[in-house]
Amino acid sequence: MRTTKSTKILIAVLVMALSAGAQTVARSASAAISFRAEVAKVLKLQANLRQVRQAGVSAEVFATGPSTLRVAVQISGSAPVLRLPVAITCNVRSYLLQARAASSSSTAVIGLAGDPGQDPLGRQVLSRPLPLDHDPVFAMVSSPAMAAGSTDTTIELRFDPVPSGETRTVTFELSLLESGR
Amino acid sequence: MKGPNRNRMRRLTYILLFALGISLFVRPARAQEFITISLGGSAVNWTSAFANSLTPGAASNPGNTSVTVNSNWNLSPGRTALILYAYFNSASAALAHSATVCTTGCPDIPSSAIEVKVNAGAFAPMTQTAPFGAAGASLQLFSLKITGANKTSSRSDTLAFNINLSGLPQLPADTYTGTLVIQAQATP
Repeated sequence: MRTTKSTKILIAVLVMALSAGAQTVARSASAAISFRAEVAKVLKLQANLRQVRQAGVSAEVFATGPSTLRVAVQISGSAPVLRLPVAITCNVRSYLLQARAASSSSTAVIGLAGDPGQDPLGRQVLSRPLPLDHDPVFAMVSSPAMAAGSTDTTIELRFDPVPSGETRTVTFELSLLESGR
Repeated sequence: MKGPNRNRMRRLTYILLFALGISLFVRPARAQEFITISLGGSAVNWTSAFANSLTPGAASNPGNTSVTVNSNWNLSPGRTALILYAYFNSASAALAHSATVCTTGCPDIPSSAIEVKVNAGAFAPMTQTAPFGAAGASLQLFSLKITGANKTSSRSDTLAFNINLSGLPQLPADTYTGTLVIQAQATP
């Protein structure tokens, strides 16, 4: 039996009709839930030593807040240097270390003393030694990579020489602040 | 064409015409088929206002609330499965950082850190690939076998949410936002 042309057309129409009737997936409209999550800021500045006694320097450190230290230093001699070990805990993307002298007559150059090869902060911090009574901000960290746990470093203050036989007292406040960048 | 063959061809033509009629007029009533999804809530927060801000490094950061998903459907004969999915449109930045706070090199929360629990089940990460959303940013919430008995039905499921930050101990302080999409599909 040979299939006529009209039968072939009929078969084709049937196949098309059946395929048109085949099921495709059915989908619902989408529904949305908005998510909002915050990571709270953490800024902590802690002294690793409460009392520091070094050549020509005697200092006491008081925590006056989670990110603030008050340092009272007695200095004497020709080249008094205070090295203050601290721990910085921070999860903001950039922050400032600020030193503000209680007395504007205080003169010192302040900076981070960490060895860049040993001190993790020393590798990433922009440390700018400045006179204590000139610009209170002496160090700035500006790196997303700093949004990490706790870092130990050393703050160094180099005071002006004190005349022989005299002792001078300098009080200043160290603060850790978000830079707002 | 001789007589017997002509009769056979005529018979075949009648059969084909009958089949065509069946296929055109006795098809399932597709117009009535539907699947609808409605939510009992539209927002989940991890914020100080709800005392549940994220703790980087912590595996457990539960959302402030759960969300109920109500599914209703009327499916055509021949459907064999109804699957509900949750998905994000990005796997790497399911919850994106706030652009106003950070502009470069800023980490986001990936979908793999977002966990969803359905009813009394266990939390599961949003790492599957589904018909919807970005690759690796989905989770199948349920898969229901459809039979004649339940081709028209409904169900309600409760979703709980957690953000697992055990792999993100250094996530910076910021606000992270995103949208989870819920959608169902019936097959075939």
